[in-house]
Amino acid sequence: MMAKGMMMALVTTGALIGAAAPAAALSGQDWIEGVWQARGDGTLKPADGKPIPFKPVAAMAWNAQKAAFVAGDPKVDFSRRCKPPGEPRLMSDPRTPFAVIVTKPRVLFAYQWNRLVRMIEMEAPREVIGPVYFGQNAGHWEGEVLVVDVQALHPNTGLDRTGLPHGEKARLTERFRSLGARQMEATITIDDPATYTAPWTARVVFDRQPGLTVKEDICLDRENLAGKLKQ
Amino acid sequence: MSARWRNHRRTGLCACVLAMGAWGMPAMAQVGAATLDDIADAPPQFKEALSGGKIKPQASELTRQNIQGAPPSQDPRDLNGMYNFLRAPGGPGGAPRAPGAAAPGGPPPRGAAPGGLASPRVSNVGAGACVINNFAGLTSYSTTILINPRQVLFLMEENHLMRWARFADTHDPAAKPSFTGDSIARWDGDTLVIDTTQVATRGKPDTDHYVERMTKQADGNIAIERFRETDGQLAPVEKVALRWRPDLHYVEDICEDFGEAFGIGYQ
Repeated sequence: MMAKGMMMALVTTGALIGAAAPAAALSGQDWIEGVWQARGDGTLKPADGKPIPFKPVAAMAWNAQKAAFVAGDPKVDFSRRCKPPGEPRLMSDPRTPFAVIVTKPRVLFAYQWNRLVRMIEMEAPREVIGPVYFGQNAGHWEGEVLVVDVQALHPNTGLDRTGLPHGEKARLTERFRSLGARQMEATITIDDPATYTAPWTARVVFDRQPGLTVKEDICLDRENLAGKLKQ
Repeated sequence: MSARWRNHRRTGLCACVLAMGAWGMPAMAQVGAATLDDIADAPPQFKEALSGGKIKPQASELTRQNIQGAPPSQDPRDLNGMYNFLRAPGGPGGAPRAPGAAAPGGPPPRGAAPGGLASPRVSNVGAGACVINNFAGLTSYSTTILINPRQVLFLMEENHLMRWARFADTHDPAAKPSFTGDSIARWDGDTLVIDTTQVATRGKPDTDHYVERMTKQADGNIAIERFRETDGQLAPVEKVALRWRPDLHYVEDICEDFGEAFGIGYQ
């Protein structure tokens, strides 16, 4: 199971340890800087409480592999082979806190899990290079709300820890806004006509985690120590 | 990253697996494997390589995608940008090597003492292609620097390596040995000084302490002097130049994918 692997990462590497971190929310667009951890169980559901608007074929495919995916079968969940889990799966999993760093040209989500970095480019829209595991992330600020347009998601990834599917032309719009000094909300609108009958929006709430920082993690070392690689 | 370099690495991966054993693998993925030709001739064809030929390279697009474009900022403390490395010939650690000799800071010889985090036994043949071995190797082929008043990050495209230094006066007392160590940054005039402790090296039982001085040049390049503490003194290790490359763009590089393609790692 993905969660099991991630927990192993936290345990075997010393994980998230205490260090200096901003105690209070930062001003302006820097409010998002710091370490965040998702609430919930790492699954995405429509914020309006309605069922996920699957197309029938997509629902069948998801149901067919969901159990194996959640159980951590590396044949369907490629993150168990140390490949990036992708987004929004990684950020919405409460077992993988991440640090956000704001610079003028980029906003970064830095994960301990296998040293992965999601790079949000704060530039004008441009040609897509992909598919890539973290997708192409084009961000901009609407006041103090970070808006990210995501496309070119890699077919090896699922949208959440159940392997929620996406097509190659899926387009995600994420809006990150502050809910005060200690919380952040992300609304994730998934527009993927190949998989879903209509766009739908999930909501994830994150807690700020002052005193945590992200340490080095090498997935293949971890898996090797666990005896999962051929010698 | 150029397609030529990727192909070079892929070819090298196969050759290493077959002929050189466990520690030949990381050697091909280390900076020492690149040549000046690779750097000077770095073309934008990586786009085509990554997209399976769906997207054709066009230099003008790459320029538009740059972090800041050219020319570089004239602010000596604005290091934001995309770079690739050049080792200073003849300098400490940068001296020309005999054919077949190990790169400075390269992987330890086979048979190095086992045990603990620094043991080569931590990695198998497969993992060896994608794991970190040492500190010096972190100056990788293409590097993005992102800096703000609170921290500075070095994102190395190859094998998604990341170094992270926070502007602080003291190290994290809880830091444990790691290949990237625990880094704190400060300004000495317009020179960025990064002090890194708890640096592990595979095959080496103890940790190291490095100090790096990074100074932006008028042409946008960054001159780096790297020192390592030896017997209580900082001794020069090497000089590296990060060359301002506004024509390059950070590309996701998942070493674990390359590894599987060559029958190593998870199968």
